Amino acid sequence: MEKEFIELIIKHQGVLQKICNIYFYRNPFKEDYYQEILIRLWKSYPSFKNQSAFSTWLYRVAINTSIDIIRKQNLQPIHSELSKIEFNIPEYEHNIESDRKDKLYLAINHLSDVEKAIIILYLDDYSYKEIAETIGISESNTGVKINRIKNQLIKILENGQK
Amino acid sequence: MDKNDLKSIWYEAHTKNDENIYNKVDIEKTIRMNHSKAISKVLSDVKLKILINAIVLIIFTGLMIYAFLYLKLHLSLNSIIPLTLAGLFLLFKTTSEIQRLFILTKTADHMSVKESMLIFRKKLNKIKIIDFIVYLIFFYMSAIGIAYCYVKDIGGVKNLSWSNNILPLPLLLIFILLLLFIPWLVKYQHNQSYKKIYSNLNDSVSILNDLS
Repeated sequence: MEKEFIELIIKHQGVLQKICNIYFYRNPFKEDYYQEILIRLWKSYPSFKNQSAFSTWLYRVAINTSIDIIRKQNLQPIHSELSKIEFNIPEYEHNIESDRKDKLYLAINHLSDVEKAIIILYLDDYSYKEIAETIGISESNTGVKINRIKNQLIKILENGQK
Repeated sequence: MDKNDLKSIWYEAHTKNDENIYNKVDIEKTIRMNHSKAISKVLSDVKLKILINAIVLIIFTGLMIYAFLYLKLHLSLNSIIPLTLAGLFLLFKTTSEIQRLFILTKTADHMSVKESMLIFRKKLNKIKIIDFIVYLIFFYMSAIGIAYCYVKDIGGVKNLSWSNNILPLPLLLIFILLLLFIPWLVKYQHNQSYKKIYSNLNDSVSILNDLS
């Protein structure tokens, strides 16, 4: 089972990276949280019963874990208790505004946790039905919400801020 | 900017083979861990606090039992009150840390985002309510017990006076009021501790309810 799981994770590693980048953008503990998501995926793996695609299940667990980590941060803030090397905040270039990728991540960073989950699934070409199932909302409202989020993102991207 | 541009930026951002921090993570080694380093640190901090509080509480209780039951020490109410308060404080600290750990370790990852959030909120509410009821019963019973003992010590309600050799009545009333106030203080402290979580949860649940 472990070998099968690792193979699936390697195959879908890109998804996990995207989720980490969205939820922990510029967070010094990003790598650590990535590991926590992997651990939680492994612990939840027995609950995966092939009723949905592995990627859909992976999105669901990884998004829930990311939101849960943010809750944990609020409940018990993680300060600089780790060593200085571990608490290494990456330096970003000053010409960040010219980078379209960073601008998009910055814009998404303005969204709520739920909106982030919806937009990541939309941008990764999931159908409204799959998005609705993963998030737990109605399919008819999914399209409306996606449109609102897109407008919000475009507004942020065009204005440079919310 | 066109709405479709978002997808093109997204694809562009993730088709480049950027050097990333995730590649160095050993999946096999990682999944054998209970938690990642940062989360483990958070949990072990809480566990350490629970342990320290529990040890101090056990020592305190042990000393009290030894003093009152074995040595048959007789203390005035004036001496018992601070000791009781110290004991209650230790009990309060220990239980609140246990609850914190309980919240930090419970998860519902395999469910939909909405279900997971609702379950978490339900658990948080349950802990908050149980905690409040336990403190309410405990402190109100303590207040009743102390008032009963006091009245008994002075020889009945008819002997109640503002000045008393055992303990002045105003001081006793302040102490009892303090006891009655503690559960509400605990409730307030809980609300403050979980304010940010509740605010985020309520915002998210409200968005999800609107979309259901």
